[in-house]
Amino acid sequence: MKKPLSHRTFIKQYFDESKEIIKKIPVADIDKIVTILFEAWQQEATIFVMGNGGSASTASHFSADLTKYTVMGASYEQRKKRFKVICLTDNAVLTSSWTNDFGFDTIFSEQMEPWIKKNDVVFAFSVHGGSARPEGGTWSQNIPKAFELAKERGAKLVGLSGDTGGVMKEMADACVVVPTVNKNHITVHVEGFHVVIHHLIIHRLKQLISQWGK
Amino acid sequence: MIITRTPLRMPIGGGGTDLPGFYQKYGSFFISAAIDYYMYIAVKRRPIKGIKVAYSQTEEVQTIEEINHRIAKATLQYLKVNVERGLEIVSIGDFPAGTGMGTSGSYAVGLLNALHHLEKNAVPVHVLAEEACHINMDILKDPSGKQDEYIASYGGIMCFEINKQGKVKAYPLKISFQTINDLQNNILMFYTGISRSANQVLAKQKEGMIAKDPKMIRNLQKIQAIGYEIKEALEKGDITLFGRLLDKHWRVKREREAASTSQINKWYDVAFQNGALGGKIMGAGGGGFFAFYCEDKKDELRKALVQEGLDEVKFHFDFEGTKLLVNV
Repeated sequence: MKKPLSHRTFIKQYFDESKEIIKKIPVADIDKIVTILFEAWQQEATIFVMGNGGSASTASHFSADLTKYTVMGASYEQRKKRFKVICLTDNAVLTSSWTNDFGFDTIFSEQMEPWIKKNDVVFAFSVHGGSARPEGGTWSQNIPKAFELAKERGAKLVGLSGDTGGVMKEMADACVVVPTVNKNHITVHVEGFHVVIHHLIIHRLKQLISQWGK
Repeated sequence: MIITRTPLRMPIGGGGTDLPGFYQKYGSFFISAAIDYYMYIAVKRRPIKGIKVAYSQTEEVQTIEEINHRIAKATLQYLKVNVERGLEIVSIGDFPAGTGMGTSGSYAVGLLNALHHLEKNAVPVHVLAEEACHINMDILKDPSGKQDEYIASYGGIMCFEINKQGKVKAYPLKISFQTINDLQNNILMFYTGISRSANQVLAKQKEGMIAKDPKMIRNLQKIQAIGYEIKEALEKGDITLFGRLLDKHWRVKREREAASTSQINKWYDVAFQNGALGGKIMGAGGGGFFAFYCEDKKDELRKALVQEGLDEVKFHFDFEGTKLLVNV
């Protein structure tokens, strides 16, 4: 019988993989996302944030940080301009209602419908990027649907993804795909690094806002 | 198309000390409040060549140099806006120019805000305020101060300090919600129907400065001291004292010959006899809007002033400052 992995060995392996991922992360894509978001803040565009499962929680966390954390280093004058963020994962009533009546794939696009306009930004977190069609059935089909509506209206599409990047990578104006270094650890690493990148982005935006007008 | 909304303002205390002739020697302190009457500016690129500027008149020209509207022309030149593709600027103000509500300042701030957004280069409110002051004071050489541009940018009820180098420090007056409500209830605003150029009144003040008129300086120093008293009264919530200080301010300002006409003095006296504790004429004086502070006898005051031919205008304070309404 194969000897089970010790805790220590697994921990080391997990962190080694993380180091490998950090080395391979496409920096230019993160750069693009920061630029798009800073422009949206300047122009007072609205940011719509979404995700499913663990990514839904990242979406909520990111929305809160984008709204509040980004102005924590700002002066009275700089704080007059804030990110306008609508988090599409925080409304259980609408989510269940759209699912109940029209299907799970409609929950994000239908929430965005009355608000989204040209130059707004749609920001999605998804481990597979809405991939695995057709065998994936309707997995994350709500994100591609939201992207289609956004594209129609002239909004910008941004995503944090993993695995192959899926439909999201093909459609987005900027998309960071967390590199795969171990096929058995895709979801944990992708979701983990999404949180790391989200904090990188909001901290960079905080720096930019606190330097604004100086 | 970009549409911005920029509030007009009501001076609360220390007005007049915001002129460079005074602050460069003594520094300045004043309190100003934004109110919910606005200057709206719409700016749009056109698919065809040419510049259209619409205000109380409409201009259709080919180059920036041909524009007659002084502030629009100076602002487009200052920002070096590219007009090759054509541009349209439309302004809608709640009150006409020359009414003492700071419309020129609000116009400059609102237009700068709109053009910065059009060029995808938004700037913070203190930069908007300083650029607007630069346009009105340095480029157009209007004898005006910094008050209108600053309060139009920031909104709210703000204290402003200007040091001798002209640098402005802004912070909100520490005033309770209750006091804000009381002020809105107890200040009655009336339109005199007279509109005049602030530049004529202010030019006299500036001349007075340049001539180092000790009388004018003493007068503004008194106004400044009352400004600090007003700050203390409002932060304590003593609004009756605020009303009395407005009267004190009025009597000091009246010593300046240009600031009021005999008709204005007559209206003030009528208001004072009919229940107003104090009052002020908006802006540089000489016409426009009158505000009176009154606690118990509001109906008598209204009746008396309406009989004199004045129209009451209701208002609330604005806490948003210059604001981007539309960006599509």
